Amino acid sequence: MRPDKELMERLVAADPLTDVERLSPEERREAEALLARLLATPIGPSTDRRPVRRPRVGRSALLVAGGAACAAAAAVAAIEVFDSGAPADARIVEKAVAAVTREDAVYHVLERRHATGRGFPEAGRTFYFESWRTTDGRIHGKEFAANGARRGKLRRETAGRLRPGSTLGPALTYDARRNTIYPSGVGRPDVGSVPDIDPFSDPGARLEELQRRGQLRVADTTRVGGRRAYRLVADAPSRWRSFTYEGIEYLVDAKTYLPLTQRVSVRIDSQPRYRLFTRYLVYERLPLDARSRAQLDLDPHPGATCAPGAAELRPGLGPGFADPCPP
Amino acid sequence: MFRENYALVRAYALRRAPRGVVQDVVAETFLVAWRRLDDVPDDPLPWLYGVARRVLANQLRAMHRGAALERRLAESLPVTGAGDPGERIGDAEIVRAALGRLSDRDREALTLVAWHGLSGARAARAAGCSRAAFAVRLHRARARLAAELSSLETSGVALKTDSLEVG
Repeated sequence: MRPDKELMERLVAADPLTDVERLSPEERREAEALLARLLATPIGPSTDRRPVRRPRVGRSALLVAGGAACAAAAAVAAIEVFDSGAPADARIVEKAVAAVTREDAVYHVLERRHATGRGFPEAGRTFYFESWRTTDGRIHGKEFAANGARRGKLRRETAGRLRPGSTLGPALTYDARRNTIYPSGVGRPDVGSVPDIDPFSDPGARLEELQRRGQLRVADTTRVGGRRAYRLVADAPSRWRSFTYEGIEYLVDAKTYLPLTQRVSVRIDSQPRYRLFTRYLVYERLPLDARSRAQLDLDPHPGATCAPGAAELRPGLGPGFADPCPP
Repeated sequence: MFRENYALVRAYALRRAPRGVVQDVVAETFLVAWRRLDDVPDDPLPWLYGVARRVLANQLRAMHRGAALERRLAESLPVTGAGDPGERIGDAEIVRAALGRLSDRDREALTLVAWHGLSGARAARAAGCSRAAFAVRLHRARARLAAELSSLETSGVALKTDSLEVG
């Protein structure tokens, strides 16, 4: 054996610690208490709401406290040492919900979705969806096929308005294959269908609902595509109409609080579990002005046929909705 | 990041500091990471080790580093004085004693690779130097460790006495 190699092997064997990744129950409690304390600390540069630091001895005493006492001390530390107001988790959840529910904005989202689950029509498919929406229910979305790892051909485009408090509303849909504009609906009814493949489902509405129910918590931080992110989870099963959500997870950008990914696991009665993963390639908030409002209308399709009823539906969409089927 | 790296950062501190300050070092390291989230690279462990090293240096300076570190190294040695005086000191103890005689920089280079299992590139990031500089540092540290080992192995009984005096 080469002397260098032999020397390093002796050094490896001299490591005083073994099984370093296994923590005792007390050490795990210490870790969880520390994590709680960190999550209670305002994130960001030290000049931005830097925590009020107590003398070193006091902080040290808090940190070395063991077991349940340590967890309690950490909770005290969150209040006393870091001079925070509401619990940090709640603040993060509030910011995440606020980021996607502003009334003075048009949200532009480009997402890639992939569903799995035996027996569901969309299972195994990947598709792209681009949308513009407002919190008052106006929505314009385009569904694209996947072309390898990129967005492929436009399949259909829908613009409409969700009725207040409803997942449904009137809309016009352009079918690219038939080059025809149809009167249609936006959203999807809850009659034995798959809930979250609905491309019009709104992360803002879901996050707000989970927050209202007190089901959303901050699990940890992670990275998505080089960006720091909070993992918000609702792991308690929740019923919505005929669907049981077994797990919902959002990763939100730690700076903007806008969603980066969504992972949903749903069971519909006794059917197999259905999972949907959404990667938000773009999630941006545009100022609400004439330019962004124009994005809420169906794109012009000059050569398209307007199916019977399409022109009549337009007034029902409300004011400010451009007519794609002029006489 | 926290859950994936907590135990490893804790182990880093445990190998270098008295138990009494380990939890402080770990807490301070993750607090720095939390405040500087934007600076944390995709592979956070070497970066965390680098932070822990600086935190630890500050802690140890405050408590007379040299004495504390030697105490820590001595803690890992068996209290052989209470047993058979003729008992042979294990190889691990000799190696650790030799390691304790090296400079901080040499010891850091060797343990990042041998005890923490980092590759050269990751260890270089943890040590805060280029990969090439780290390779040179590691090479020289190995040579010095070999020399210290050779010296100790020719005076095994003396080692036992020295270690006990330090502890």
